Amino acid sequence: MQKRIRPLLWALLVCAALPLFSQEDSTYTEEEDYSIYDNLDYADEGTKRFASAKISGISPARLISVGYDYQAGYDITAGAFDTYAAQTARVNSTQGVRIGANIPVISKNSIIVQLGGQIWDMNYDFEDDPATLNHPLLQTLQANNLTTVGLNSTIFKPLNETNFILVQVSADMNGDFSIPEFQEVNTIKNSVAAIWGKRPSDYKQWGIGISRTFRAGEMNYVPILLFNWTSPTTPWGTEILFPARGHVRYTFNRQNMAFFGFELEGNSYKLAAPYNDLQIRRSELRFRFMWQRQLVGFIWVALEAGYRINYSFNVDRVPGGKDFSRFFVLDDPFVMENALTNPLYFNLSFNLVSP
Amino acid sequence: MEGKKKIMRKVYIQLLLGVFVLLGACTSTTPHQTTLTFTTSADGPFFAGPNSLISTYEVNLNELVDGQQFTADQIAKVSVNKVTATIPRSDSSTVDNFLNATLQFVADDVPMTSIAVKNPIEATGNSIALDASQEVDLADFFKQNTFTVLFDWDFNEDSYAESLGTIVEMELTFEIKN
Amino acid sequence: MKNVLMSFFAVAALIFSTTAFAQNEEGDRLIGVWEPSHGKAKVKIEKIGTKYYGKIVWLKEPIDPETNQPKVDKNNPDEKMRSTPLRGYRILKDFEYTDKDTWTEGTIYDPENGSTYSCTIKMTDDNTLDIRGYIGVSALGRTDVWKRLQMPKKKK
Repeated sequence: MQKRIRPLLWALLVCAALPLFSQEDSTYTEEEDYSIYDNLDYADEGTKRFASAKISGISPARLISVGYDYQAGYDITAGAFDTYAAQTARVNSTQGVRIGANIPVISKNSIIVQLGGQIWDMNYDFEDDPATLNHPLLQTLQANNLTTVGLNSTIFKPLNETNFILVQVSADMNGDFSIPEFQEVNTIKNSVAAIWGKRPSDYKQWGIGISRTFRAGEMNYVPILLFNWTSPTTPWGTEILFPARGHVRYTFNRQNMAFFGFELEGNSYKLAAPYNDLQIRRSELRFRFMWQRQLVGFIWVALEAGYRINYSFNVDRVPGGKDFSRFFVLDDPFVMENALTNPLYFNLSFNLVSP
Repeated sequence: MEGKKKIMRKVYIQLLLGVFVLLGACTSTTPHQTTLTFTTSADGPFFAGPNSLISTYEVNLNELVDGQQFTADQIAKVSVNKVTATIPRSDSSTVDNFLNATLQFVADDVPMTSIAVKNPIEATGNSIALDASQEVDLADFFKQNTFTVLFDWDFNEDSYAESLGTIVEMELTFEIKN
Repeated sequence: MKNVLMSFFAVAALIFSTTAFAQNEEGDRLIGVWEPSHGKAKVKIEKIGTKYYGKIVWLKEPIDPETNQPKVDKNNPDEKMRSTPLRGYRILKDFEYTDKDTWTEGTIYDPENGSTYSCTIKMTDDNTLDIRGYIGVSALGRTDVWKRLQMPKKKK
């Protein structure tokens, strides 16, 4: 009823108020009925809406990350190999700097392309006197660090308001080399993941896909499940990209959040001459608690603590860097079967984030 | 380019402030409390929703703090202790006509700053106290010749008043360099 | 000589004022109601003094599901200001018309996480804006496309 009377009242009022309007400051716009904003048409054809890459409440993306990773002491048993007998040694710690960058080069609502890189250093600090380490695997770990230098790209392509495609490609050089003496290009490990997903609301996105990955050490083709969710009414949520990682998130506030979950971390590391054909299939499951919060502005700190569970540290013979998957060659034995006990681990990183 | 300069300038100012803090009382300041009033107004009619009342304030450094003479460069910090908004009796509105209220300052060379808010308004009568920001520093505004006071009332229903005025009273602390 | 000088100044003043006026007119094309690509809000850009500001005038989801109350700026880094209502909130601040079809110097606020980004606005056509929010340098940013909404004809 009120709505129907309103135009009439308006007509009267506008007439009465005309002299007032003429005095108005032209740099300031007149007030208007906020209900008119409910149903407005586009001035020309409307914008095509695209699913956002993020959901409400998700943890901020790390543009640049500088961190330090520390695994406490554990035993390593290098398996029998060639003429060498198995040998067990004590590692006091495995630690090193991890630097990563992930920069959006194209970032529009219709497509996001990010380019990134990473440098990881893993230094094996042995308790045993180097002279007592006879096994070549232990010798090289003791003498050389494992290093990863990688490039990657993530492409997020929304198809419409709810559906999207996510593609990640990466190329990593891993081994006991040191920068700047790189390895042969044909030892580069290429990983690919492709996901088709849906974002049914601001609070949820999910997707399914397939990946070629070295996270289990050797090359594998595995299905992927993406499930990011934020509860609209409680501080809880999930950030899952199975099997790479899965976390439950608790938000104290948007600048301070905690996570509990796991990460599957791994790659295949080529050894130097005379073991050019050998690669360590390192893979570990990290059960962890993670706390991250804003320090100042867009700089955040992340603190991680957890249990590192060895999944694989076996060695394969990969002649000429030509990779294979046990998925297809099921009975191919490892050249060296190694065992690691499981220590606590910690990680501290400082990150430039894009909230 | 200018934006970056502004950010850099902000960074420099913050660094400089940091250095001052570190050196400790290299430049000492004296706090002076003062109360300023701003008479904001807007012409009606007003529709339900936020409506802005404005007032342009001309800075006269000699009149800011009773008995104190200082230059713009001497203003180190201006913090807000208390903000009240009063509707003159001559206006028929009372504060229960509004859902909430916000106060902001705008100037040519200073980023818009939110100073105080009251949400929701549960009081009645013609005056309310707003919750003032503890972090805000208004020093840059008082280094301008003029700035604009922007007071938003969120009307709970349409109002056909010809105009509405609101007197914003601010209790401020000026930190003046000696 | 005096006359020549006078007319020179007069012409200079005229040119200056007309360019300033044209500059103003061009800059004012930003004024209006715009919709960000996510469609969750409508933002009205207006001019206060010499700069442009954009406030939220409509929210698709005006009620916070957590509190069942109208949404407020709950992620504001300044605790005292967290009760500021989102409807009416000025998320675009301090834009100046600096170049052809470009407004700079401003910031954009994301109420979802309480972050303020540096921002530039580029008008790609009369009804479309590229709004680029970034961190420090323009390369670390994201561009969103906003579309102009048609206001009903004024009832004057």
